[in-house]
Amino acid sequence: MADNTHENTHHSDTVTLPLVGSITVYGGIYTVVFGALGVLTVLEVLVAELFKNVGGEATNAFRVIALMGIAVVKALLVVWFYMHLRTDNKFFRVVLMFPLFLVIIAVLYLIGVPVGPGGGYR
Amino acid sequence: MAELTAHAGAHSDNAHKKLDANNKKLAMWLYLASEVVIFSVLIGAYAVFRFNEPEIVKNVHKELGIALVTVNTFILLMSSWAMVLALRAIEMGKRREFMLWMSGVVGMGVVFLLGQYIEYRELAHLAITLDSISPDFGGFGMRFYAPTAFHGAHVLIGVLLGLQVLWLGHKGFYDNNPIGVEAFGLYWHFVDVVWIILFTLIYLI
Repeated sequence: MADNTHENTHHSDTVTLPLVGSITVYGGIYTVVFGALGVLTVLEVLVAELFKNVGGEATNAFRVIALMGIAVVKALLVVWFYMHLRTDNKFFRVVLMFPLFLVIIAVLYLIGVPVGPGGGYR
Repeated sequence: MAELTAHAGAHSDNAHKKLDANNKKLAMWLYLASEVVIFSVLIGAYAVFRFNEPEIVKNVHKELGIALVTVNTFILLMSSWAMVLALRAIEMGKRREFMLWMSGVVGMGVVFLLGQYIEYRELAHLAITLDSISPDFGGFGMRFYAPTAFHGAHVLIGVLLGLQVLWLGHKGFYDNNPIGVEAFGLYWHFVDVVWIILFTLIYLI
């Protein structure tokens, strides 16, 4: 069912990581990704709480960009490793990206629409 | 000669199985693409509200806190990890291990739903409802409940599907063809990805 690349990557408990080198852990790459997701979630909560009451538009913009950036990295980790987009048919990436691309354009457009008197978008 | 024919037959059977698995995965990805659109509309509606009404969102954050939802997020992330380990186990022919991890997925899905129920009760006590018009929280309820309840419904459906996967796995249905587990896994991970975005956008920003 699964091809050799998939089996070699996902069934092995030994993972080679940049900087760290080769490590052996139950679940291999899946457990490493889970660890990364946990660390990133803690980092997210810290950024959200530490910069919550710090005033200034620049700080707020940094907070929003940092939080969304971390969320996107977490989502990509799940899609890339857990949903196997890294090793599966590349066409699946297109199937996922096409609606995302359309929706991002639509949301950016909506955010750009000025609010009318009394909250026109309500 | 007979050996060669048998080898060619096995090769063609493997190719057929791979094609069949790819087609089933493509079907699931197409379904998930439609879900991307639905969730994006709900998330987009919240994002527009968040950027236009920052004070209301700040008021809700002050009242609600993030302890419960952070724990719930960890539970869902852990369930995704359990899901890939369940798939890995069944692909390696370890049915007992698969059953254990899959039970974990279902159990954590139930715990997540309980957490969401507790959170909704807290919100109800604050009078944050679908149609609340108070100056402190006005308009938040509809934008909040639509994406989170829709996501919760997906978790509930995932739990029910997970129970079916558990039952079929127990019967040995996936021993030689785990594509059903992989397809369910895609659904479950997608639900996790949606929550990753919702958690950041609704509770942290």
